[in-house]
Amino acid sequence: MTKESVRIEDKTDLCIRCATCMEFCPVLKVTDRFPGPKQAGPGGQRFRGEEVPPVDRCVDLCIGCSMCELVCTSGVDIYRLNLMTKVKYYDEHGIPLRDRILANFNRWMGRMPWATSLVNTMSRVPLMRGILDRLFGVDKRRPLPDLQTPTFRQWFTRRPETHGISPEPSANGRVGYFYGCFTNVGEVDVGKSVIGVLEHNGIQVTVPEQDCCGIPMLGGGDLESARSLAQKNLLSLKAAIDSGMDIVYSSSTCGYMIRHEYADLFGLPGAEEISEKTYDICEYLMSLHEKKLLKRPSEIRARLAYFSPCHVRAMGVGLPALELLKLIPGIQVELIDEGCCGLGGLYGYKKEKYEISMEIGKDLADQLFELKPDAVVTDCEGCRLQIRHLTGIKVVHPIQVLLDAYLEK
Amino acid sequence: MMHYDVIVIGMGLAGLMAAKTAAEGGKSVLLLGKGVGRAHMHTGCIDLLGYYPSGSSVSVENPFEFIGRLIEERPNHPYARVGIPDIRMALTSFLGLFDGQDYTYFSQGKKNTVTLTPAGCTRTTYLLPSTMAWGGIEDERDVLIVGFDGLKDFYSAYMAQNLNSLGKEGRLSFKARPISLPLSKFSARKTAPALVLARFFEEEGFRDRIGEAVRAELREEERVAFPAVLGVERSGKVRKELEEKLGTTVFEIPTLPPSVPGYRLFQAFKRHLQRNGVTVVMGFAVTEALLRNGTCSGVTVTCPPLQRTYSAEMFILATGSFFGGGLEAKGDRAVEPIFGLPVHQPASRDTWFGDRFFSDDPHPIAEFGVLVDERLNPIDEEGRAVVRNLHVAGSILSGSDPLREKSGGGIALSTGYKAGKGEFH
Repeated sequence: MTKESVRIEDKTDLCIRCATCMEFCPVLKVTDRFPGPKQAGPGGQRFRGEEVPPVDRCVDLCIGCSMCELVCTSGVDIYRLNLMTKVKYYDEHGIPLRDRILANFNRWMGRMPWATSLVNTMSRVPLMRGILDRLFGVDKRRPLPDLQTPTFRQWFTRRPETHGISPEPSANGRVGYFYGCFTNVGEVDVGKSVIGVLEHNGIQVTVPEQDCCGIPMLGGGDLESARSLAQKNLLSLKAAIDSGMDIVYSSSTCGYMIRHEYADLFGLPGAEEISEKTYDICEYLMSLHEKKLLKRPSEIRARLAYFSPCHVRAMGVGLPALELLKLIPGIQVELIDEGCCGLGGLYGYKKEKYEISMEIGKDLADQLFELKPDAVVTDCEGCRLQIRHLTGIKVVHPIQVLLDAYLEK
Repeated sequence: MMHYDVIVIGMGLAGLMAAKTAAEGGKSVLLLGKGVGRAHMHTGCIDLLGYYPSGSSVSVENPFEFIGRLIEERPNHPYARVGIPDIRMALTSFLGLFDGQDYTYFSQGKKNTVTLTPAGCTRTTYLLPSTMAWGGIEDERDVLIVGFDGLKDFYSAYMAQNLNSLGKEGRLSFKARPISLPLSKFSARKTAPALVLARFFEEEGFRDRIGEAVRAELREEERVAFPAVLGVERSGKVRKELEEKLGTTVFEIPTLPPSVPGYRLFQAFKRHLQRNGVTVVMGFAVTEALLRNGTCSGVTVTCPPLQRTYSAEMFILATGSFFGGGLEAKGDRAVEPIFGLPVHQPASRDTWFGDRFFSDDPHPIAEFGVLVDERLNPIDEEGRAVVRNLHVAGSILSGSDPLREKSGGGIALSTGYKAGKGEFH
């Protein structure tokens, strides 16, 4: 046997127990109820097997930031190990009803805009929140987002006007925009800004048929629901790409799911092709800038803090939003690159995790209170919600800042 | 394809230093690391030259004097490739990272410092974090060593016992006494990794409670040693406040890795780099270099399922030795996996190691590595250039035995500095 013929398939064995991941885990930072990525991941893996029923519920406390995996110099897929352990646990024990509802909430609301005002009213009634808290375990201290109508999709399909900027002839290409559920019902303005900025730069935008990317289900250990959504999205995204479009997304979370997990985790046929043609909106605009096709923004004076979300880091593209903000004259921007904000998608809504979520965000909040920026800028809706809740400071998507600079006369 | 002036591969001390130097030279820089880099595995102290010749039993007092000798006697040593002026410049540049901050680095003039380890032994180093001042062996004042039940990487009783045996041998002139505070009495946790405990120390309330508890235990000691967990961002302040509270000198002892001083060092570098416009991409391995006619045009990073190629004018390889993954042992050959650079090594695997693991004789494997010319460009055994626009820095270089010499930090900083300056052919 030659040594070259040995291939290590199980990456657990690559772990040298250096514990670097334990330094960077946001959950371990605030609680010892979670044993940390090293113990829960490659450590615990030794006691698991196909036939062994999963017992380690503590893995449910993993927030899914993937920092452990990024800092690991030995190439152990720690986050993936923990995710799959969670999947196996819930496979055996069943997905709680609360988690199913939470995961589908924005998705469903996007389909029934008529119910929006009723849901908004109910979610502001303390008694309702008390019931949700007690019976369902949705923490009443966590504000529920204010749902909007018309939804982004309704706005887009009905619009005659284009957000104050007249569209240029589509000289610079065509893109399909994956806006994601939350932009659709919770932050319509982010979607409008994406359209405004792209059209201003001579890009023709369409919105392909789309469903939830699947990451809320995946984060809760519901692999099968996530996979079927992925399959559904792949079909329409592939059709868009086949017609000559690139895909852009403004939510780093949806983007990460589509670009990486569809191919790498699910191994879906055709997913790699989608990955290659899918871009973060800021990354896409920066590539226009490199080709000297991006229009120059006007000067706006603002002191901003840019917070880098976990999924932007995990995409391995650097910080394109920060680069983009730096192109705007008059903008002063401070980078905050300190790890997870603590929301973790639905994690921070769950009663048993709310306090962990808030404690994780404390360092970030303290930094922002010290910095006192005019606004915080970040690519992920989860981070935006959490930072608003933690600090009350105005939080926007980078594309909204760029649109402001374009609208400035 | 994204284009940069310089791409640095490797996020350890050498890569960080190379990126800093290149960025300060006005270059656009991409820093790639497959993980966070091994700075976290170190004590946070910067060794320059502790022993020369490397097997010597007496440590070096004035490292620059011996580096001069080493350069004359060992022309293939990384220090000989860099030269004394650039070694000095590198250290100055490193110290500049901490300008105006309350956590800085110091040396005892031009001399090495012999300091204490958590195992209760002594070690020779050159630059120390300011929080480790007064922890040298020359100080004759007795020490109270504070440990924590629940911090697994530091045992005060073990350290004190070993120090006191050194004292009995006449090698130390102070006594050490251990205490151990139960973490659960001061916080909601029973156990905490070093960095978590360090964050607790940033809170005034926690610091005060610890201060009270330690003061109650103090007897004659005028020095109090803590594991290196005295804060993350405000360590200078944390230490000063504890000193005021205790009325003694307070200093830090390195812990087992991952180390908080290593984390502080990495954060200081990372912040400086990002402020200087360096793009930092962590978590993905460089899997291929695009080489043509002895020139590199780009490197490919695998970010599953994508392969991304980044191009640059100049590349710096600082991927470390076997531990960092810069060198890999494949059967009977050690290889450099990204560029396929020639690795200086003996013909047969039989001679990689000495007979005994803990031996006074060197293990030849420690000196394996990439051969370079005086510009840190890689060369083959015949001295011919291999990749013209590539510079190599850090522990991947051949010709030194950093563990025995206690020279790892100095080699990383000085070769990183020189590579970052980028002298082209």
